[in-house]
Amino acid sequence: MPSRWARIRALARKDADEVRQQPGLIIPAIGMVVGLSLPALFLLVVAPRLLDEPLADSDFAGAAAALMAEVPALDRLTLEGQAQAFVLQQFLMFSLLVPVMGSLSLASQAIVGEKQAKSLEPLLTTPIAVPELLVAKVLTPFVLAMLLLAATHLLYVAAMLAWGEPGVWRTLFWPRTLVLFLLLGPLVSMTALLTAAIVSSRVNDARTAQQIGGVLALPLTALFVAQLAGQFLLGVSALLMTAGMLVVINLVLLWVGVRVFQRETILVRWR
Amino acid sequence: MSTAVVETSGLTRVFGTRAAVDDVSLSLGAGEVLALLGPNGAGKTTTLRMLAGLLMPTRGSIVVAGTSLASETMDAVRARVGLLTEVPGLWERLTVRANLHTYATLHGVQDPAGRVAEVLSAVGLAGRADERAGALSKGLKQRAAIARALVHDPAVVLLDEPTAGLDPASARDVRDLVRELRSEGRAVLVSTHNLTEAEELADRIAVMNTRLLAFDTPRALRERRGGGLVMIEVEGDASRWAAVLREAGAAAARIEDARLIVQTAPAAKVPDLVAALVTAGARVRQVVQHEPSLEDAYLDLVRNDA
Repeated sequence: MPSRWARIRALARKDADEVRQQPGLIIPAIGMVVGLSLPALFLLVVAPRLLDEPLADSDFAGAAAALMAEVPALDRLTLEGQAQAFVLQQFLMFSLLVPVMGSLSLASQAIVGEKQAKSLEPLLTTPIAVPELLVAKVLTPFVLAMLLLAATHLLYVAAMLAWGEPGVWRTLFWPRTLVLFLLLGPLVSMTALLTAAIVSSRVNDARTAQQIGGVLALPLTALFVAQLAGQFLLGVSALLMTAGMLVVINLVLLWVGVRVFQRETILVRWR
Repeated sequence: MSTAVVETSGLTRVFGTRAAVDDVSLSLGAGEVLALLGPNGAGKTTTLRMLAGLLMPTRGSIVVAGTSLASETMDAVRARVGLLTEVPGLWERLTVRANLHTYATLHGVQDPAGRVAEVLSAVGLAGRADERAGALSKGLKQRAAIARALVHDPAVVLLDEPTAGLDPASARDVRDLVRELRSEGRAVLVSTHNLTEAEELADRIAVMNTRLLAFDTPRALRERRGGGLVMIEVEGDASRWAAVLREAGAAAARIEDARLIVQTAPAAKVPDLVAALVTAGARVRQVVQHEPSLEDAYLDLVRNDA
């Protein structure tokens, strides 16, 4: 009997092979990385040059100065650099949409695709356990979502190295950034994946699943807009609390997901 | 009869308040083909799913290759059963080989690549192994799906309408595959609506309509209907001999187009009837026997149950 992991890996690899065969899934995901990064780069790099008005002259500089007490590292940057770092940090919340939207798109396809191909029943005749099936179905989208998030991070680093004030790129390795990318990113991605898995069990096309799961983008967007409008940044402790809440939410979603992914339920109720 | 590889007793599955399968007891031996017949909604697929370890029975028992089905033995049962689902359900973007290799790995086959090559060769798909499954014809997809059901070398093979929607040549190929499975000593259960196919392939036939209506050999099922028709052509006025036939034990004898039409008892009775006519002085020109068909027997069973 193969190990649990061997079964999960076999199915996840199959999903990855299928994704590779579908440029229609990959290209929009890559486009999303670029698309969601553009507003920040426009505000940080293009707009000040077009308007000939440095960020240091904007309200962002004042907000950044207020943040100095919490982040002493800002002191080492120029005024323009401080403003850039502040705006960049605000937009990092927005970039969490990348793993959310990527996960929703890929996971919905991974499950609804099986339903459409009617390949779930043969799959269930194998010794794969249903929790393994659930894990396998979210594994490939999760890995891809993390790659997209890493690509977003690299894009920001490259852009700041190329066009940012000296030292601003280092802010992309601040504890706050790392909490966002290494902790909140995977957690929101997992929330999106589990939501997509649960929703996919009830619908028959991937787009509907994505649209329903897309409501997850609302709280992230709301946080981003609130930060931007209120000229504040959620600090590391607030982000850690958010991460704690996401852990609880993910556990609840996992509980629901395991109940939805039962052999009999899939065979008899999934349509 | 060989020892039963599959045995069900009082098998029942209820969904909500509706019994999809009710008190079905069957057995199937190694090297035997059993055809499962029944109208749509008769519970055939549910029965197959229970035998494949996909659904738990509400009541009754299933023993597959010595393993009694219970929630903790479902994996062991699945390892012994290969199920061809009603729809092939292949991953169409992947090659046939990749499809089968994934299943071989999921089943824990020791040498997945070798076993995949073996089953592809057995179903005549060795030359198409590296084509995308979606590019295959319907018949070839069905063969690939059968290969998938065999990849873990199961003792029991369950085929849910294996020739539905196939052209005659592809359907014949699938039937040949079923015969091969039997000759390899596997226990094969085929769910089908095709009565000719059932008669041609099956050693025994189970007719069900939620509950089991009959379970016997094709011949016994036909004979159970009460014999067929015998047309006897005699010289002269046929009506003179009807009474002779009735006295000789024919259930009913009538005249049609100057010929005697007899609703016989079992076929063995026909020589007695002819002998009675000859003894009474009739000159018999021709005797034509029409055996009852499986279709007649099946329709009688299902209509009587309705």
